[in-house]
Amino acid sequence: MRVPPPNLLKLDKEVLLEDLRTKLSEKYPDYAVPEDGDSTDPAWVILEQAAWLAELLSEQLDQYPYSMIQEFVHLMGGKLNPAVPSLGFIIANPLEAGDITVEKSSTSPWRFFTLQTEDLDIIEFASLEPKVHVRPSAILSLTEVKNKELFLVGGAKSEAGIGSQEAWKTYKKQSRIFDEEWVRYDLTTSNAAALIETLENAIESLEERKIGWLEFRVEQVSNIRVSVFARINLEKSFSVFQPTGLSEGDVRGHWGTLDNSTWTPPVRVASLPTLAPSIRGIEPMPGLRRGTILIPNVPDSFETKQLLERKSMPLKRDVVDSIWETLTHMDQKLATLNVSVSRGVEPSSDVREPSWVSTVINQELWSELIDRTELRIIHVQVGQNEPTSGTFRLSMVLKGVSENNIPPIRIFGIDDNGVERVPLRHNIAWRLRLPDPNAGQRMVLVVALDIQLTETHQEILVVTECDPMAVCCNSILVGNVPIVQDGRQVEILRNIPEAVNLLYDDLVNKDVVEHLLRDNIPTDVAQLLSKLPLAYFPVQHANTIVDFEGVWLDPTSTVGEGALMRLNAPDRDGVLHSLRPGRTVQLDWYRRTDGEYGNVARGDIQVVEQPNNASPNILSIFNPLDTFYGLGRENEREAIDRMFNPSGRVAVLPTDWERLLRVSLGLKAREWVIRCWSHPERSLISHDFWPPPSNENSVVLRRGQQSLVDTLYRSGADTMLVVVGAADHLISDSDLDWARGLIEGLVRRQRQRLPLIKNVVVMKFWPLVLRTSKTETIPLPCFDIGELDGTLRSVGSNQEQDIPNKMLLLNAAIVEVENV
Amino acid sequence: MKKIMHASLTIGARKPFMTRTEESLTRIDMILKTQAGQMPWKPDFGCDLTDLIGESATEDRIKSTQNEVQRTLRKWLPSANVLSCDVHLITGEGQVVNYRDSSVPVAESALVALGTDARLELRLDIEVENEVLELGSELEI
Repeated sequence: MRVPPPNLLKLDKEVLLEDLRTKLSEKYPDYAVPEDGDSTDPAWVILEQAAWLAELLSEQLDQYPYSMIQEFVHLMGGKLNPAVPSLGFIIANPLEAGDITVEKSSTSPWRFFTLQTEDLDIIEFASLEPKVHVRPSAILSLTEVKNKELFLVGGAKSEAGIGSQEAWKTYKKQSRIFDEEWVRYDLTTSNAAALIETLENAIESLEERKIGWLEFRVEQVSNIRVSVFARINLEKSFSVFQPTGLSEGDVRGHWGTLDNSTWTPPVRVASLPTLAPSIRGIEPMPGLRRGTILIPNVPDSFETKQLLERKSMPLKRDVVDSIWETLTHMDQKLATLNVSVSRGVEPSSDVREPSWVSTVINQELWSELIDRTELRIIHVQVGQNEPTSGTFRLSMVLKGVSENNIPPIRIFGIDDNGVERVPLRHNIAWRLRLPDPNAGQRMVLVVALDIQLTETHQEILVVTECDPMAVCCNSILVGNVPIVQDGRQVEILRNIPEAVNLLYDDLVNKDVVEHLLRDNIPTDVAQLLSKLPLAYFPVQHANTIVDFEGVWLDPTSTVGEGALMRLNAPDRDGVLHSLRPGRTVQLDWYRRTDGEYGNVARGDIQVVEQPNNASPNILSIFNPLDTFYGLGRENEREAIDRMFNPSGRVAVLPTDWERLLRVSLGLKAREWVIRCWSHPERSLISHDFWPPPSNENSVVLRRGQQSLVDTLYRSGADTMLVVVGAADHLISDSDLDWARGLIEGLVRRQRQRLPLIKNVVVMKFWPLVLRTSKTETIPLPCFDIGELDGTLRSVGSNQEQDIPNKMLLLNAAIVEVENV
Repeated sequence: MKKIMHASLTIGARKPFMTRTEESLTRIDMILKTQAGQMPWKPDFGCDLTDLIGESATEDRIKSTQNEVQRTLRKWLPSANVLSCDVHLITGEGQVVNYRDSSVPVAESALVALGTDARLELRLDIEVENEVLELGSELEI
């Protein structure tokens, strides 16, 4: 629809000049107030002339009839913004494995709905992905390893059904799984009875060593096999000093070491309310005698078995060897036996405890998996009755993570033989920012992974440095773009444009998708959206009209009922799908949207509609997060404000941008250097980037930067270079990502009003120190290196560099001068 | 008064300001070489000497020109103090060729020998911020 008339507007010369003075005075304070010399200052005379011309032009423009301006604005592409669909994701609980597909020529059989409420009708969502493989699965546990200790941080909402597809990080509790850790030494012998006797004697001798915390059990497996179980029993260490199992004042216990080892179990005093606060969580003190411990201030009659708790980490491999070695020292006959060691933990009665630990420690994979101080481990069951290979979709909800800087993720398959040592292949299917469920200020990032599984995989272990708030299986990207099955037939009667009113007001065409993509939507979702089939109109004896290509469509038209489409009229790109009279166009299907009503709350999407024979059959669906990005159609008043109102915040010059960016970046960037380089500034003057290529470390340092430099050289006048960073140190990658997100958002918003700058390349600012013998003062920070002598070095580095033989440094400036 | 920069594109730290003398000359030049009305947004700016065109250079006219120059300089350059302002008539007498072609009548030939045009020369002593400048210029009208 065309934009209605705005209020007339005359730009006053004096007002313009006053505005100019305030802007100029920031850089040249002399211009702050008018003075006598202004009339004879050539620079000011030119500015006065420009202001006078602007006043004259705006006055003339007001004289035109509005219909003319309206037509002119319309020709330039100014029109009402259409309604934009919301985006989100759902999790599906399928009966069997299979692909959810969206095809170009046919409609998808799966439709997802919200329930009707008193205020709202049902709102329909459709899958945006061409193909998603879903399979029955369940999240088994969510654990965290911090400083080598294992913590339980959450689990699936329920054991079966849709709740098993979703797990949230809800609590943090130390895992008690290692309390029941055992080591089994299997021995083969011809005389089991004799061996058992030898072992029992050796164990008895070892008891006299007063190690305290170690407990053995001998078991005859068969006539030729005997097993020795060793486990850590903390209660046993107090059995000599507190034989009743109850404390009497300070508690003492035996705490000896094994042969050739100084290791004792890492323990702490339990944090129980019945214990004095001063001793809760402390490590036991060494006792008066060697090989003992002392825990002071324990209340009387406290059960000693509850006094200590083991840190939740497994035994080290060398401790396992030391246990057997110490036992063989008790009886040398044992040293000649061949022993095979197996390890594990007893299955816990607490369903929240992870079940993967036993397999991992038995395969000696613990140290391989846990190679960072902080890791999260997600255990998911992916096996099914009829095994199939294919991908498995898993998504993680991350907070405070940039979409370009996702921490590493390793995924290990678990089959009948245990955990595979080689990580499974996976790729990021899409990333999407959605509102924080905890109402945080920044949006959370949902990262969906497609993991390649084979038929044999029963379970997977996802080991990652990310800190996910939630993990979801079978996540499907959806949008409020339901299909309208129209079915009408239109016969072309004339060669001139044929107007057809479609059934709904807010349709989705390429233009609408482009409006949606103006928001902060990552590239992978943008790619999926731009490939989404939008409409399908078969034409009798001619090519099918796909996605409104070659036909004119105004999704915001208010002429008649529903959006207006004109057959036999060119689309916005000038492509015409010409239809001769007599042809029949079948209006098969197209997509519509509910605009801002599509922004539904978490859990609202819960109804799935599918034909009886749909495969895979989806049992239930659920949206774990709110959907977002839906916007209603712009009204006329908003359009006038957007297009015609004067705006003091339209950035034209690099200094305007710098000021805008400083305001946007806020307190965090208060002391930062923010420099914008426009195309003329950087293309007319010889320049270089820091660090210079001669620097030995530059290969590493320039690696991330080089692609940005290449992008910059490939792009034209509509790309601006922004350099941001602290003046006293080099900022971190995450700070840069944060700034980049804000700056790109700002450029996107500015682009809607005045598309002078369409893209932005954001780089780190390098603060430099100049070492020179010249005493001439230079204003700091100084990007100009054309007439400088001496050497440069980065702040915090010792490596002196020659000054590049160029005029400007774009991403670095001198912030300090050292005179030598 | 604020400093004026050279009309050249510079980047970075250097700020090529004009010297005081250059600056004063630029300002005086602007005033004298702009005719009133040439700047539509400031129609009274400039020095109006157009009245002289085609008129005979009598003493009165030269005097009024001198007054006009003084007035405009005081108006648009109030910080400057005009110490003296002389306007002289320069004729072409003695600088033209005396050769007379036989086809040119004697009377006309005598007029040509006096010179076919006359110009006004301006000599100005002006004090700008405790600095006295002496400058001379031809008035282009």
